[in-house]
Amino acid sequence: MTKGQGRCGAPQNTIFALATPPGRGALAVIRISGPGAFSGLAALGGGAPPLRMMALRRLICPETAELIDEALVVRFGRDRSFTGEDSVELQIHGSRAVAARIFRVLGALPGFRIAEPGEFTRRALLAGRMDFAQAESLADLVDAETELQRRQAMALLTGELSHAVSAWRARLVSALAAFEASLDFADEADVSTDVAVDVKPDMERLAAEIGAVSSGRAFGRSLREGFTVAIIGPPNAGKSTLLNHLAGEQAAITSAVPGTTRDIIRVRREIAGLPVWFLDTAGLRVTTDEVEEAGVLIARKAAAAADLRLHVEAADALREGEDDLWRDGDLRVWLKLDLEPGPGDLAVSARTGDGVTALLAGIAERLLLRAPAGALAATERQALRLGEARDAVLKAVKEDSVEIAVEHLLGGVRSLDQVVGRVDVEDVLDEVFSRFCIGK
Amino acid sequence: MDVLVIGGGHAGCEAALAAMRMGSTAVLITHRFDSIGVMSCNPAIGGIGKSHLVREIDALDGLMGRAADAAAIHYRLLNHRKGPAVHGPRAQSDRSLYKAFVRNEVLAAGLRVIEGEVVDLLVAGDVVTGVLLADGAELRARATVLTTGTFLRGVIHVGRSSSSGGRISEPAANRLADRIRDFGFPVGRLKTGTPPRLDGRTIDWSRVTRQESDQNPVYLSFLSDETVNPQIACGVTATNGETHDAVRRGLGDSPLFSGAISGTGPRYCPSIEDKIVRFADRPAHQIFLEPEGLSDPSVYPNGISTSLPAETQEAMVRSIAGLESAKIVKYGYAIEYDYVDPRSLLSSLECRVAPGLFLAGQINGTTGYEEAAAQGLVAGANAAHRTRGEGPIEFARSESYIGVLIDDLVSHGVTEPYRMFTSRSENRLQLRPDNADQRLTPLGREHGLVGDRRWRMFSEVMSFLRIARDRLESISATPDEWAAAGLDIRLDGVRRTAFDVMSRHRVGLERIRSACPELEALEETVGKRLEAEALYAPYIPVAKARCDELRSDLPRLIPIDLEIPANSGLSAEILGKLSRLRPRSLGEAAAIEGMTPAALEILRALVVRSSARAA
Repeated sequence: MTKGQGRCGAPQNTIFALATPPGRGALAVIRISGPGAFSGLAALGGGAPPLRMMALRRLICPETAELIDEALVVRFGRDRSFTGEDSVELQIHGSRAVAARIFRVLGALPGFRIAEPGEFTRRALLAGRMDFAQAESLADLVDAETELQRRQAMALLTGELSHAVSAWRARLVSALAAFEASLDFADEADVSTDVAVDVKPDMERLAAEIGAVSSGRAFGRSLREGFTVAIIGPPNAGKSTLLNHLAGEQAAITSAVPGTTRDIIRVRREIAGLPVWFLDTAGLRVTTDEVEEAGVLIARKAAAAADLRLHVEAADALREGEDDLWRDGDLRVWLKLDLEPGPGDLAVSARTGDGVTALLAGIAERLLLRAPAGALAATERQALRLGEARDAVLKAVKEDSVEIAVEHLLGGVRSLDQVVGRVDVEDVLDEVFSRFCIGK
Repeated sequence: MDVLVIGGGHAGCEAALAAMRMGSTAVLITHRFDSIGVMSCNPAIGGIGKSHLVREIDALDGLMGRAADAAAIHYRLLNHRKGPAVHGPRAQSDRSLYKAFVRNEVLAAGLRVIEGEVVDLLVAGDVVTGVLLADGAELRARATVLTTGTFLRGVIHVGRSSSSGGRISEPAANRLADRIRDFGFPVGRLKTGTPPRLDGRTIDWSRVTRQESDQNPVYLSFLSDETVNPQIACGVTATNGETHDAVRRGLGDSPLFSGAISGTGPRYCPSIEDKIVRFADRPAHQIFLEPEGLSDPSVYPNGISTSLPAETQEAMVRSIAGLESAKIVKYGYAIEYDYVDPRSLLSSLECRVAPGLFLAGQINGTTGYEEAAAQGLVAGANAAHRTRGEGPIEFARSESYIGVLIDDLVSHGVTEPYRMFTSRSENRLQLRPDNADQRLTPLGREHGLVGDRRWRMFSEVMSFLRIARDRLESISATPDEWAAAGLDIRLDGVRRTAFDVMSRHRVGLERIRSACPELEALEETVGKRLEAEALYAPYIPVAKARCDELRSDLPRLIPIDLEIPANSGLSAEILGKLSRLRPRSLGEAAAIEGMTPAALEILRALVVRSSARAA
């Protein structure tokens, strides 16, 4: 019945791996998890300290009786460990040779092997220590570069998304119950057959809420992958100079010749905890130079896709073709403050850096405005499923045929279930029977 | 002898006749010959989900659909405003006509019937080889099918009085029940109930709403093409505040609330006292007054099943509009009985631990005539197969409600009397009453279940369908041409066949016929079937995929022997509650006070892992 879930029958291996990046460092942590974790520690000659108490131990090679390293050792019982299994952590000195030697010792023990990527988390998942959304976000936490990313990953890890999805799922199940009841209990006085009136308004709200997270995800993705801010404007307005100032190094070739920048040049900066990619683009102008023209096209495309555009003003601007890139919330900047005051929301000297701090603050403020209120974080995969769930709910709302609407709702539930947990017909029937008095 | 069938209800008769159709010899044992074909609860066959089963039984040349049409005195197509996948044809029966039809079929098939009480099973090793009767006679067979309904340790409750019985005024089967417990089958208790029966001549029909039989009835059997009996109307009335007060006054003597009944009753068929307690804010509950026969004055008040004391039943009935001076012919009662956890069965309905023994019907924890009959057919056919040393006949859950029923029972067990709902199928759009023959008749024919007459008719219908489908696929036109023919479909410039237009643009039979003169000859039932095919065609692949995915469905029931490891992460408090309350499903576990979502997730993971190990 439950094909594809098996492979649980055999006794679990004990797995071990470096929990810190490989290579030299002051310290490295080796994590051991599984039924043999404690005996692995014993094999290394490290006497067992009390559970969850860190102790200094001499790790000895069992074959040669040589001292491998002095390490801080901590044991976790299965009831309190990350994986739900007996676990040991060895804080060794960060040398490859030490780690390699310990790996050799552990790998020779029966039932021990090096962990596969993500295997500790997978075991935690199987032991019911976390749900899928939490497990997924853990990977994000580990990858978090900036403070906001960290906070977002923590929000996921603590299960905020799981809670929201559970609540949505409950509403979807409740709607399904109304739909199903109207199909299976059509002849009952207590069951309304007009689910459209009863349920559809809430379904529309639900779709909007799910949709908000799915698109709020755009913000979440940018948090991880970086926001893009395109610097656009006519040629020779100082765009590359600004970029170089932001980069603190020569990233773009600047010259007084209009049309110098033809490829897109990207510079990464962190602003107020936000990772931001600045894109320097070819000056937007009508040109007869084919190469430059191709550059302009690429620039326009990148600028249109960016999270924010800095529209660089120029006194003698060639403005044609620029206006359709304007989006609400974009900034107009004047970059040659050191030469003369100019138009725009902000004035900066790209050359001296005057006003750049205010510009960066303005950019951060605008990007942070994009964060959905009370945003729920979601990974890319989760956002995709949430988007599917929203579409399915909307289809169900539009469908006149109840039994077909149910198919859409089931699809929606399934998409939510792929984010966390699952639902089955018993859930729906439970809901039906708790809400409707059915039976003649 | 090949097959022994114990019990002459819906399951028993289908089992014996299925075995005989397949060429086996069969004997049916029942307490009384006269009780063969009795409808012990409401006098109706079909309804939503249930009619799906009846059509499938019929497609396998079973008895129930034909019996229902032969005895029908009132037809009603439930859900007629909704799509064909959820249509629920239902026929109210004249009890005596139903019984007569079943008895004639049994006699015509040459089935041998023995009156007697089975008190024990005969075994050789762990194989069941026959039964022992109360008079000491031993009957041996290569396969034995038990269809004991509510008779195993049946206890009947009315108010504070309770007595042993399998149905009202029929003895229970206690010795057999003891033996089944001795065999070590996991046994539980369930409960069901029935309303008081009224004398229709004492009902004031002018005070109730009349509900007429359908003008163009939808029959239960594929073989039926006409209404054979005069059709009569039903009445609709409702309870009121006074009724509810009467019920509340009697609650003190209710075996349901006094703790006298421990078995779980069906939530979808609650007693009136249950409804009033659980849904205290509802001012009224509907009651259908269903005459039990053309010449039988007795009326079945559908909706007030009860086990309240007789005097409360009197007061309750008197308070209802139209029933002020109605005479109760038989009091309502609740019955508790043993059932065997169906997870101990294979999908052939043969017991895992007792080869040669098959169980079907209420003994497996189901309720309903249709559910019982479907299992009877499956058990009887598989019993016949066993006698020939052949493997089980598989009914896939993606192909039939019979498959859904069997799979639900043997893999998930039951927590209350199990009834079919269309929502139980993941492939609802495909498993329709209209195409049950397409789905199952060839399978039935292959196994010898389907006789020549049905096979001939089926083949004929299939060729009509093919011709009609070809015609719909051969007519094609541009959107402009369709518009000119009177169909206002979206002008997307794509040339479409008539079938595509029906499917993509939800154009029904009537409209497509009026747009295409060459379809004028398209026969109604064939056309309706194609209309259903066209309507659902775009959605079926998705549903099918989901269905296949759910083949590995996570168990929703918590195994009796679920091991919770010490490191599960569940708190001592939750562990204590789990071991004390022993929830049978995750749903029940979720209802436990103090159960957190996290704890539920852990429990779910444990159940998943335990089933993965079992697989």
